[in-house]
Amino acid sequence: MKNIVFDHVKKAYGKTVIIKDLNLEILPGERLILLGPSGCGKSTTLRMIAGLEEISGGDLYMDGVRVNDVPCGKRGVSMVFQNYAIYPHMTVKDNITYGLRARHGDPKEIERRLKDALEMLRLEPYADRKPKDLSGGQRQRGALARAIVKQADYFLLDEPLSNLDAQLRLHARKELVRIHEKYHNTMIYVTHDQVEAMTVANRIALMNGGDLVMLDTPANVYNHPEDIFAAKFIGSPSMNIVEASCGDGVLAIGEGRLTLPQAWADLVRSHPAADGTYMAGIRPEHLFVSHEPQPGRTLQGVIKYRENYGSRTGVYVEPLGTDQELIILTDEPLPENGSTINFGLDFNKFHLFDKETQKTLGDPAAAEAV
Amino acid sequence: MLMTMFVPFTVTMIPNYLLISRIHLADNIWGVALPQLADVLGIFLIRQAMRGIPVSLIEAAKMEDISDRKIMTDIVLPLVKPAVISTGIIFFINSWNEYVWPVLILKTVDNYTLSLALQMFISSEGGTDFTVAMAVSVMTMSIPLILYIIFQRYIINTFASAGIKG
Repeated sequence: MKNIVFDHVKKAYGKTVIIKDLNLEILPGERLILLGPSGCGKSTTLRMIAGLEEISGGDLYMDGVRVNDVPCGKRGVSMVFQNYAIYPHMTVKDNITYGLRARHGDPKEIERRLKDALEMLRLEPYADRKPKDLSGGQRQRGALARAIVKQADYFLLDEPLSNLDAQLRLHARKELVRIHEKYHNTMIYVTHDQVEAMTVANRIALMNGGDLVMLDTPANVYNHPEDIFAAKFIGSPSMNIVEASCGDGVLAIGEGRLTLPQAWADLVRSHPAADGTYMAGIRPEHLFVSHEPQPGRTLQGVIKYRENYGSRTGVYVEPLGTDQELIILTDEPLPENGSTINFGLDFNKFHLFDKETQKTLGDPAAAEAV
Repeated sequence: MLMTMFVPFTVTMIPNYLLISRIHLADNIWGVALPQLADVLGIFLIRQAMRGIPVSLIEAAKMEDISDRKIMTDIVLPLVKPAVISTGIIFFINSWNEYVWPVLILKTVDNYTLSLALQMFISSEGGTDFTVAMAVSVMTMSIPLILYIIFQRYIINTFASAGIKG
């Protein structure tokens, strides 16, 4: 079972603690993405798996074996670095086969693996070039090829696509998934790009400030975020989080009043807040614009700003009675900035968070089932 | 380490001479060479070149289970080759032209270096024999000049990059 288990792992540089208490299991053969803002500890976690960082506390198990003290060369891991780390003085071919040759592999086998890798990543015309004669995308494919030929059980990638332009990134993402489907090793990928995470991952490990915030499939992280941080991090534009009061079956944002569906009213009753205020979350794409006001269903707000994304428009709206701002993604025609519009939300895609703990109150459908 | 550069040669001249003669290397070319084998400037220049190598290259090699010795020979040395060559040329030219230290150590004319030999023809008793002096000068300067012309690109790049942090 080629899994990885972090058991109360702690990482500190002297007095500075980066990772306090990490408990994480990475399943064999899965594509796990470590996602989070800069400085959240995701690269550190990856480097601990690779063996490039010492583990300050706790235990790390790979395939059931405690590997805290195992040197990085002996862990059966291949890694792709953010800056590719291709040896500038060797050709692409030599770069790819360097590790295999250094370990005195069978020359025929090395040749075969090299050929497969070059073919898969379409690097055959560049095999004899030096890195300085290659473009960024070609170097990245070279680094990938070097990692693939090792045919290791664990495949680690540290923000491998962040130095590529947007078009190339799309293409490279697909390639990575294709490679994983072919070799089916355990792949751990670090990124701060949430679109990359959503499209590539089987599961996402969302980290913030050294803590694991949420570990779940992309769909669940998108549809059922555990806290406000997770809600805001995934999705572009990110989820609207506004202060709202709930009580007596009514959701109040500023001056507007919306009728709370029964399931939500019950949920609110079972999680009373001190002053009746919660943080309400709704994604821009789940708000709709209405031509007429519908009492109990729509709110009114003033358009402050708009952005054209091509397929839809993002409108920044200030609901009446509050200075908070909501973004609505819509393709309806809109009056100019400064006018008032009516908008409503889809309660099936609604979220409520506790103001103090920042955590979600849960899913009303689940509450109903109980 | 760099502080040793600030110690003037004249300070270490006499103790070094005493040491060399005690181990019976006076009047011997090795007596000239030995105290100059380790030089701070050389260490500094090569160190600067090595600092320009991205750590991820070393890490990538470590991940392939390559021994430190092999990392040094296969990855680090080829990448600092320009610095090594140019440091070598600089030091060669300096040693070639050196006068004070060899004149201290070497006694018999048979063991003289070229710079010492040149001195013999300048302001010697009987006046300066310009013809011979000129001939010896040209010979003495020809080798470093040729080496510099061949390797000047490396030399300039090394000194330029030691100033600019990569």
